Amino acid sequence: MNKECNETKELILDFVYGEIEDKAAAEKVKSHIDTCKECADLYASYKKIADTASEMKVDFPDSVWDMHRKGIHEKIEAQKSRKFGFLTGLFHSRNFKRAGIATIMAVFVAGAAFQYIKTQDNMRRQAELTEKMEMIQNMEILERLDFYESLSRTNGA
Amino acid sequence: MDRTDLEIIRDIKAGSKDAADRLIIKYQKRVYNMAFGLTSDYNKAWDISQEVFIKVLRNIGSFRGDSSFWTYLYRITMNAFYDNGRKQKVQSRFRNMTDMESDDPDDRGFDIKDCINIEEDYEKKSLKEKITEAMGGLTDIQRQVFMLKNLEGYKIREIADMVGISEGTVKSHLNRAMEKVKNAADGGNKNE
Repeated sequence: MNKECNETKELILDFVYGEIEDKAAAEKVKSHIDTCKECADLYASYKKIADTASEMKVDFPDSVWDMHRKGIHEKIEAQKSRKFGFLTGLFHSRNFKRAGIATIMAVFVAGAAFQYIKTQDNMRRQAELTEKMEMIQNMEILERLDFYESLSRTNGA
Repeated sequence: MDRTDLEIIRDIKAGSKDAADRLIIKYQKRVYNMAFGLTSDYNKAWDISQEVFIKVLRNIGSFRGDSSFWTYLYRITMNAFYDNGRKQKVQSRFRNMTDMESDDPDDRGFDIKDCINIEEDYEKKSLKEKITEAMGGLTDIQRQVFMLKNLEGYKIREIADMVGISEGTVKSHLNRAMEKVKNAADGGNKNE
């Protein structure tokens, strides 16, 4: 394999696909292929593969493509109904009902507990207030007694 | 971007089912063939191409038109191909573990291969079969480049943009892919 073969092989795919922009370079590859059997065979093989591959399009009758398209719409609809079906199923499921009842009961118990704590707190405050009032009243009585004692001492004197 | 595509997409966004049909009709063969080129499997290509359109229609609102619609479809097709591969791996692992047969509810009940339009001579058909088989032995990137060049007819520069690699790398993958396919077509055992 000579130097010219190596240069041609580097460009042979570009030549097959018509992608050598430099006209002189394209002409050089073509001239070499015309005179070198090995490179000509390589070019012919690649060209045949490229041409055949370009026609390798799978095709079906229109009815099959219609089925393909219909299948897409059906799958989209099925996905949508699965999505909403999940929510509908959730509302009607036994577990959902159980969870609902449990939530209501928990709220009721929490409310009752809160009310009990609040009532206890109010009673405690009321008791403290009453105690303070009694202390004040007692102090007033003592003050009055002191006053009368000092008055009687003054009169006696 | 193709004006018709923009109009169709606008109509789909407005809720038109007819527009969705127009979009599928326009691209379904191309997407199917891309999926078939990637998988060399008629049934997988059928599922992948349907999945591509489901994803496109579900997310059409997020398509801004920055790239051509085909480039957008191509990327979704590649993602669907990789997703399908991952799904197959998990399913086969599960089947191996439980020794169960597949009970796919989407089973079509017919073989897609039986529906293909056959029109060509034996030699061409035989070469096509060899190329399809050889494509199975290419790496994912080699197969992508081979398809974009030969089946889609894109220029090297365009492939580089679509795949996100340099032109030199595209050429290198293409050379390697063509060499492997040529060896398979010649009936040689030079494939790696």
